[in-house]
This record gives sequence, structure tokens and C-alpha cells, in this order.
Amino acid sequence: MDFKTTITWLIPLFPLAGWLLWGLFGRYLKGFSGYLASAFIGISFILSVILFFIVAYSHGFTDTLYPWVHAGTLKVGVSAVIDRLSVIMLVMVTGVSTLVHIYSIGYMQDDKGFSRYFSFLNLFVFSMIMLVISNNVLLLYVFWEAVGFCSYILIGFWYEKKSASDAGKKAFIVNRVGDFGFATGIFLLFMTTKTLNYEKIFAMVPTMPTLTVTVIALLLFAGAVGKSAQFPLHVWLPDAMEGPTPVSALIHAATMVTAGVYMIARFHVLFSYSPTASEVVLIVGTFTAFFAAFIALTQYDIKRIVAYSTVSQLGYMFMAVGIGSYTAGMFHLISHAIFKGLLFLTAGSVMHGLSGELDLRKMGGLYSKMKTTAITFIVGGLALSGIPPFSGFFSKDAILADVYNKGYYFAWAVGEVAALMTAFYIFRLIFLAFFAESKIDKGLHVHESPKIMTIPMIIMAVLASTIGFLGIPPLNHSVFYKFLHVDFQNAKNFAPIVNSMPWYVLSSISVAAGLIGIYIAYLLYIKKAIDPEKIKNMFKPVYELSYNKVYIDEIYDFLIVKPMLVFFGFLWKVVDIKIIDGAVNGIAGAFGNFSVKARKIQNGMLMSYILTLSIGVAAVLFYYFIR
Amino acid sequence: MHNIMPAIYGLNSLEKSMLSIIPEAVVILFAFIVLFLTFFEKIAKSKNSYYLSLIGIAFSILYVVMLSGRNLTGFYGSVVFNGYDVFLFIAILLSGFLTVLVSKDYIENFDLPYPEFYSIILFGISAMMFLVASNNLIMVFISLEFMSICSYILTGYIRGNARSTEAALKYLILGTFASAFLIFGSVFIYAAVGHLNLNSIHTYLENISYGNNGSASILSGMGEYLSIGLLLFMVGLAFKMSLFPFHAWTPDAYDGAPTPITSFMATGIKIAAFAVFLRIYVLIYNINVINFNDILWVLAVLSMTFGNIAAILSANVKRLLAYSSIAQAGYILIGIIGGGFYGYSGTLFYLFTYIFMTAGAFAVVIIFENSDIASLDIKNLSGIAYKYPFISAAMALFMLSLAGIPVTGGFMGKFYVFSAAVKSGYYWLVFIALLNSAFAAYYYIKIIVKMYMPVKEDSNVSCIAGEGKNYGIVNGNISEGIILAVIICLFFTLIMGVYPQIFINFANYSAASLASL
Amino acid sequence: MEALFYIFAFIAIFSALMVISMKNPLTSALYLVLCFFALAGFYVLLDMQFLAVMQILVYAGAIMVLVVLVIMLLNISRLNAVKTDFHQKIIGIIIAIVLFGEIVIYTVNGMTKKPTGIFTHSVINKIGNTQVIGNFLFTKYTLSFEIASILLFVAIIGAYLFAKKKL
Repeated sequence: MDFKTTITWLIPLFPLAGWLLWGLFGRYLKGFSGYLASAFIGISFILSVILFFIVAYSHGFTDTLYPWVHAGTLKVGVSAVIDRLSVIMLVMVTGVSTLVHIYSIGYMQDDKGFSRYFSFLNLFVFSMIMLVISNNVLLLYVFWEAVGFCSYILIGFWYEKKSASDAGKKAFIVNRVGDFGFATGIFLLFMTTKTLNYEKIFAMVPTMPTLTVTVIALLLFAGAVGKSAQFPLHVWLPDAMEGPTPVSALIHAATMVTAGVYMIARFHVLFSYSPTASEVVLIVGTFTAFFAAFIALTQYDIKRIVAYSTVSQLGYMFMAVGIGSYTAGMFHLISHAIFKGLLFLTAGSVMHGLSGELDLRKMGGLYSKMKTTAITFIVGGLALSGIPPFSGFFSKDAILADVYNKGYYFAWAVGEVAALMTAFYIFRLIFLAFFAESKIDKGLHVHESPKIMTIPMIIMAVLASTIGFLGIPPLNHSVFYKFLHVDFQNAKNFAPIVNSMPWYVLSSISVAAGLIGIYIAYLLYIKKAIDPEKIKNMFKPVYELSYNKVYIDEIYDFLIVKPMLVFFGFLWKVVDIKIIDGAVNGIAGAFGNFSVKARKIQNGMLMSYILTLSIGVAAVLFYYFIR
Repeated sequence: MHNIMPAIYGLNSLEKSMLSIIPEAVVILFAFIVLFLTFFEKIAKSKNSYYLSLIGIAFSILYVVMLSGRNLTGFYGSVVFNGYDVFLFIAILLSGFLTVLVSKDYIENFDLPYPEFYSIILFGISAMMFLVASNNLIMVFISLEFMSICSYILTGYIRGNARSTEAALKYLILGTFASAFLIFGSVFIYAAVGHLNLNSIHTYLENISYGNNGSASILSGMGEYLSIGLLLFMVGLAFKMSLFPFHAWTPDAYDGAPTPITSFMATGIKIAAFAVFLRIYVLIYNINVINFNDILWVLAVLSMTFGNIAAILSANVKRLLAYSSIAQAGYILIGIIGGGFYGYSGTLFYLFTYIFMTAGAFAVVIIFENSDIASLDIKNLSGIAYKYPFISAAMALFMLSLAGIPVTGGFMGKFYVFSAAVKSGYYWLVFIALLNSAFAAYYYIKIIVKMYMPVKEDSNVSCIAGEGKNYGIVNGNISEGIILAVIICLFFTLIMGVYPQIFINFANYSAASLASL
Repeated sequence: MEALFYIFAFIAIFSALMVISMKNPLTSALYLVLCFFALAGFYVLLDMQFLAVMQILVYAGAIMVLVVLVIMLLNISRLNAVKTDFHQKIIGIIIAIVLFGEIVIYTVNGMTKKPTGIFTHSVINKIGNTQVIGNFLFTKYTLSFEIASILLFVAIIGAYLFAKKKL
């Protein structure tokens, strides 16, 4: 192993070691496990940065740690692909993780599961790193599941709360739906290409029939829809806010939920050869961007607002990868990871200061009491609204400009409207929480968070206001584009640029949308020029729709959960009570109620067992006649 | 007459014959030694029988390893010993080893007479090994019966316990019923081809199928006899493999039997049945008499679906594992259906991982049984993770492995057999299997959730997080043996997920000697 | 010879049916003896007089005597009527008929070519039927024979374990 491969494998090694150490010896380490865990991730971050410069100044490489499964023609190794795409992700993942770990030391103080928390958090970081660097589909799938599993554990971390463990379960079940598609897609991919290695697959894609490519791409996208919480599988993410806030910042804003976007960027060859699949990605992304922003307009739970905003922003990323602007999508992924992580951390800080209060209606006037939190939150909010010079402006605008210039006007228009709504809801939150008159209980002692929490927030805020400059000069001349575009050269250019609207026109429209959104929020909640209640009553049905999250949960409940319950209730009655638990009640009941009295257990049971067996034999023999 | 027999059967050296059954013979020898311990009351009451059984199994493993690489045929072709047997002997012996390890606590807890217990386990192990090694239909039948008799006795071993006795009786009657089909089938096969030796049947059929004009036809008449024979024979084996319509004994026997024996049945018997079926499948079923894969396809789908649905509905851990073992049998069958070298090796690999995850899960169940929880109902496991952190973590891993979540052996096994089936073009089967395993994850996870996330409303939460004072690994009346068993299972379950290559090579070696027969 | 075969076959099937349909266990046991006799008849038809004698000695003689003895000892005069489900009975009968029909169709279809083994009447008469069995048991099927003996031994231990009150 030379220097760069050693570094490559050391990056995941530290979190893995951390997981084992705090998991096994956490109770001896007490509070130190937090500091040690942060240090471990920090080392990973430094190594990632080194790797970043190695790759930036030379070129990417792949390396196999050891052969994993070698059977017949199937050869899969535990191997990594290190190129510009993965190092960018690595730096982002380890960087945000380090900050979140440090923040968590303060946030999770006094929690009885302190070591357990850091152990799982490290496991998550390990899985995420492996997901990013994996060089074959199987490894990708393994860690795709693993990050999901960690997220599930961490959502249900405060299992004593029923809502928390329910949310964990919900996340798990909803993700199963997507992962089922993902697994099917992988099998289909393996079936057609007979290989699992990225490079070999991508080399084969141009020769594959378009239909096959489309089906595979759509199945893989189903996995992305689940993991990245896109419509219609977005329902788990808002509920996932039951977990500790740093977890939301790390997993449900910055890293895991973006795995879907990363996966499509990684499989850009596959997706670019199927315009249909890409179109579906675009449609789902656009719709989700609008839809989630719409729901966020009327929510009162600050974490949920931010969660819906995550769903909406992920929609923008999918828009970008859906039109083949992979660099724009990745740029938004990175900048979003930072400003959304920041928003979650600050939201956590608000929660911390208010002893766990999340309801906007019970806040107000926090600005004077927690200045650092407020200022950093506003920075995050401005970035989210796309106000220059904050990062969101550059990245979101890169996407919307591409969408417009590639001729998807409707998607562009929807994106702009969603941008307006975004600016409105986030500033509604800011105004209500920080500036409106205080509705906080008098008894509550509001306090600023400790330094260990505010410093990561400040770092994130600085990053959120500067990282965007990677996006100049605009469009295809930007630093970021030039750096990353190298990796996407194999993609087929299925959506050529048809317009050349100057960037400043599009940007000014976006900025105007953002500013209008902010201004409306200002009018409503600070100036009180218009009474929000009045508007609420004016658009009652729309308001209700938004407030009730478009009734998606209820629809699922009605369409899936209820029938399942009925079905299983039926099964329970028929199969369990009458057949399976016949040991207690007499199996005879399976074929008619009137012999339930017959408690001749053995006889009844055995008869029907033998009967099933004989039916089986008769059926098997019957096969000979129908073959 | 004196000159007629050698002319027919040829000469087989006694040495070679004896060599080919040494691993089984060692186990039987130790079974007798353990049994004789009962004559001496003082010795019988000590732990000698436990250690002797372990030593016996260890010796047998040693002999298997020493003999590996040889290709032996013994007793006029009744038994064979080759790479295939090496793999499966080790699998069976490991399963037996784990069973003995976990038995000690249970026996003491339920106050069962123990030298006999270990002795019958050893007899059972030898029967399984004979079953795997057997190369003619009579040997298959006799060793299958031998194995069954041992398991009947062990199932009803808790005397005075109605459930146990009832389970044994049901198992006995149903088992005999199934055996009748097996022997009926053998008779038809013999009537069709006039041979009992598997290799001879194989050669005979090959000559007919692809003989003179290369057309895959069967003489009229013979085809009927052969297909009915093979179908009935398959029923007999499917009973032991607990595939769907022939599964009826599984839940009751698994539930009623002493838990170590449940573990033994779930691992040992299943492996032996699958192994012998795989051997016969490769030798006979694979030849185009009729397309058996269609039937196996249906059986696999039904087993998976039924097992998973019933497991979701069951409230008791032991019963849940019983149903899950039916579903697992369906998954294993997919490897056989997938076929080819790849499929066989995948099946063997899956069987190997299956031992450890199942035996591990049952070992944990035994620990729970010996602890202070009221019953094995899933709701009673609430919050148990904070009382037995190590054991619960192990259980969680076994459950994840059974569910086929990555980084565990179960995932690799599933991936292996599914991809084999995909390779052979069974897309729908794999699709259904994927759907099933997605569905099945729910009830495995349910146990983990219960252990780790107690909900306050549960009436009998064993303990609440943070209050668990017992943080030690060994707790109360848990012996080192059972902990060792859990650790072995953990180790293998993990290593087979993270670094499966050695096991894959082993399975490949085994499958290669099977396919080259 | 063929007429004899059918007679024995009829007796065997009839008595087997009676075994399972009689309410009185003693009657059942006696029908079982009859069934064993009929089976012994088959062996005679196949020129296996030794097997036929063993069948009668071991099964009809030894085992059935034990069974009858146990029945008398336990004084089971009559089995309590087992409540069987009507539907279940119907399904059972249908399945039995279907199974029977299937096997009949198979066998009839397979009639065209009758496979025969190497031990025809003349060969057996030349060697002697006891010798044939002996030769098989001590050459080709030694191992099966030995395993069967261990099997019986284990079965005895099992019976002992179940029966003994306190070990």
C-alpha cells in the first residue's frame, strides 16, 4: 500500500474503531467518549482533506482492500473509488460530522446514553464514508442499508418516547419500500451486465438497450426516493425529527439523505443514457421541491419546518441531476449540507435554550436572549432563501439557470415559486422565533447555549456565507464546475442547452423571488400589516391542506395501513387462532366453527396436519399430469 | 453360489470401507461411552458426559480434517466420503458442538437425565453424517430413520411436560407418515431402474437420456415409475426440510422440544436433509425425467410466503424462529433451483451461515429462558437489552443476519443464492424472494425493537434503561459454555459477512466434488 | 399364482382398513395380525419363505403379542369416540381418493414395460432364499444392517427413557 491508499483506508478505519471503542468501553470512558469520538472523526477529516489535495493535483484511483466474494465469474472486492466526486463528498461528510460531533458533546450532555450515542454516530460516519467510496454496487448496497440502519437506531434513540420509536419504525418501513426497488435494480443490473463493478457497468451501458437502462435506472431511483425522502416516500423524514437534533443535522440534512443524489451522480452514465428515467427524476424532484415547500408554509414545529425544507431542497438537487447538470446538483448538495446542517444545529440550540420547546407559537423575542444562535440562524436562513452572497444563492441559482437554459421552463417556474415560498417560510420562522413578541413561559430560564455548541455553529455560518464563492464565475466557468466536471465526461448529453439567457437576468429573478418571500413574511409577522389569521381564513382549504401535510399520512393510513391491519387481522383469526394456535383451541375449528368444542387436541391437530401433508402429496403428484 | 456374489459386487477393501466411516464411527463410539457412564451413578452425575461429548465431536472433526482431500467409497458403494462430505460433516459437527454447548444449562435448569441426552445427541449427529454420506437408497432411508428416531426421543425429552410429549408424538406420527412416502418412492425408483445405488441410477439414466441417439427420452413406462418415485421421494425429504405443505410438524415440534434440541433440529436436521437432497438432486433429479424445478419453485415460494406470514403473526420467540426456519428453507431451496456449480456452492454457503445465525439465536433464547423473564412471548423481551447488553446485542446481530441485512453472513448467503438463481434466469423467483425478505425483515426487527426500545405502556417491562445494574457479560446462572456458543456464532456470523472468501472457497471445493461425481 | 396375489392383496388392504376403523383396540390389533399374515403371503409368492417366516414370527408373533398384552394390561376396552370434523372427513376422503387415483394412473401407465431384477425364481431356487438374504446382509448392506441395529438400540433407550418414572 502506498501513501494514498493507506490514507484512503484510514479514513473509514477511525470511525469504525470509534464505534467499537465507545460501544464496548463507553461506560468506562464516561464523558470522554464524546471528545475522543470528535477527535477520531477530526482525524478522518484531516486525512480526507489530504486526500482531496492528492486527487486535485494528480488524478483519481481505485484500490481493493481485500477480495470480498470471489465465486465463479462473480468477483467483488472491498474496494474504493477515489475520484473528484468521492473526495468532495468525503471532505463534506467528515467535515460536517466533525462539527456535529463537537456540537453533540454539549447537546447530549447528561444524557444517559452518551457513549451509546457517539458509538452509533461513529458507526454512521463509517457507513457513510464507505457508501461514498465504494467501488461496486454490492458494497454500495451494503452501506446503503447500513446508513439506513444507523439512522433508524438514532431516530429511535430516545426510545422511551413512543413517538420516537414509532418514527424509527416508520423510517425503517418506508425505506424498505425504496430499498426493495433498489435491490431489484441491482439484481437486474447484475443480470444484464454480469458484473457489479462500476467501471465495467458504465463501460457496458452505451451498448445496452434503452428500455433495460430505463428500468434499472428507475428501480435505482426508487431507492433514492426512499433514502432522500422524495415524494411519495417523504413521509418518514419529518417524523425522523424525533431523534436528537444533531442527528437530524448530520444524517437527515447533510449526509444520508443526500446519498440518493450522490448515487445518481455516481451512476450518471446510466441515467444519462435513459432520458425517460432522467425525466422522471426531474418530475419527482420538481414536484417535491414545490410540494414540501408548500407544506412547510404553515407548520409550527421548527424542526419540522426545517425538515420539510430539506425535502424541498433535495427536490432541487434531483431537478439538477434529472436534467444532466450533475455538477450543479453536487454543488447544491455541498452548500445545502452546510447551511441546512447549520439550520438544524441552531434549531437544536433554540431547543436547548428553551428546554426542548419546538412550537413556534410559544417562542418569540429570542434575538435579545441568544444572539449567537439568532445571527447564525439568520445566516442559514439567508443561504436557504438564496440571497447573495450566501452559498444557497450560488448553488440554487446554478440549478435554476441550467433548468431554464435547457428549456424546461415549467420546472423553472415551479422552482422559482418554491424559492419564494422557501424564503417566506424560513423567515416566518425567524421572525416568529427571534423577533416577534415573546410568548415564552415566564418561568422558563432562556439561556444561550454553551461555547462547545456555538463554536461549530459559527464555523458553519462562516462556511455557509463563503462556500458559495466556489460558484463564481457563473455557470460553466465556475471553480466548482471546472473541478468536478472532469468526472462527468462520460455522461451522454441528452439535454443540450437551448437558451443562453444571461445569468444575471435569471439570478435577479431568483433574488427577487427570495426577497419577496422575505418581505411578505416581514409584512405578516413583524409589521403586522396584514393579519395572518385573515389570510388563513381567506384561503381556508389551501391552508388546511398545507397544515395537514396534504393528508399524505392519512391517505397512506387509509390505503395501506388499514387494509394491512384488516388483512393481518383476518390472517390472525384464520391462520393463527384456527390453525397455528390450534394446539390450544383444537384444529378442527379451521374447517368449521361447530367443532371448536372438541378439545381433543392431539387428534384434531394431527388429522389436519396429515391432511395438509396429503394434499401436498396429491398436488405434487398432480404436477405430472399438467406439466 | 459362492462365486456369484463377488462377481456381482467386486472386491472392496475393508480398510477403505472402514476409513470412509471413521468420522461417524468416532461419534458413535463416544455416544456409547457417554451412555455407559450411566452405569456409574457418581460419574453420571458429574459433568463428564458433557465434556466427553464435546471431545468426541472434536475428535470427529479432527478425523474429517485428516481425511479431507481423499475420495473414498466404502461398503460396496453404500457410503462415500469426498469433498462434499467434508464440508457438510464439519457443518453438522459444528451444529452438534453448539447444541452440546448450549445444552448444559438447559438440562440443569429442567433437571433432565443427562448422559443419555448427550448420548442421543451424538447418535443423532452420526445419523446425520451417515445420511449425508449415504450413496444408496437403502442407506438414505435407514439413516433418515435413525436420525428421526433420535429427534423424536429428544423432542419428548422433558418428561411430564405435556407440550414436549405432545410434540414428540405428533412428530413421530407425521414423521412416520412422511417416511412411508419416502420408502414408497424408493420402491418406484427401484422398480423403474433396477438400481439402488445413486451412482448406478445416475449412469443408468444418463445412458438412457443421452444414449444412443442423443435424444432426452425415457423408455415409456419407466418414465412414469421414475417420476412418481422421485416425486414421492422428494415429499419424504421435503418433510425433513420443512417445506411448505410438508411443514406441519415444524412449529409444534420446535415449540415443544427442549430449546437446545430445537436448535439442533433447526440446524442439524435441516442441513442433513438439504445435503442429501442436494446430492440426489444433482445425481438424479437433474436429469431430464420431468422438470422438477417447477415443483421446487412452487414449494420455495410457498414456504417463504407461508413462513413469513406465520412468523409475523406469532407472538412467541421460539415459534417465530420455527416459522422463520420454514421461510429460510425456502430461501435455501432457491440456491438448488438456481442450480449449476454456482447455485450448489451458494446453497452450501447459505447452509453454513444458517447454522450460526440460527444456533446463535436459539442459544440466546435458552439464556432468556433461564433468566427471570416470565415466558418467551415477544412482549416479555421488552427492555431486556439493558439487563443483558451483550446477549441482546448478539441476538440483534443474529436477527439482522436472518433478515439478510448487510455485513452479516445471512446477507452474503442470500446474495449468493439469489444471484445464482438470477444467473439461471429465475427472475420472478428472485423477485418474490426479495419481496419476501423485505417483508420478513419486519418481524426480525420487531424483536430488536422490543429488546432495545421498551415502551413505557408495556405492563411488564423487565427493566428500564439506565437502571440495569447487571452490566457483566456472564449473568446469574449462565454458564461459560453457552456464552462460548454465542461467541462462536457471533464470530462466524460476522466473519462470513465481512470476509466470506475462505468459506466461499470451502463451499466451492465441496460443490466441485459434488458436481464431478 | 396371480389369483393368490390378488387374494392376499385384498386381505391386506381390507384388514388395514379395519385396523383404522375399528373402535375396539383389541379388534384392531387382531386385524393387524391378519394384515401381517397377508404380507407374509406376498413373501411366499416371491419365493422368500425365510422372510415370510420371519415376518410371522417377529411381527405377528412377538410384536403383536406385546401389543395385545399392553392393551389388555391398560384395559382399554373402547376408544372414546373422537370428535372428527365432518368437513375434514370429507376433504380427507376426497384427498385419499385423489391420491389413490393418481397412483393407479401412474402405475397403469407404467405397465407397458415390466422391469425385472436379477433374482428371478430360478436364481433364488438355485442359491436358496436364506442364503441370498444372508449374502446381502453381510456384503452389500452390511453398513445398513449395522446402522439398523444401532437404530433399534437407540429406540430401546428412548422407550426406556419415556417409560421409566424416575431415573
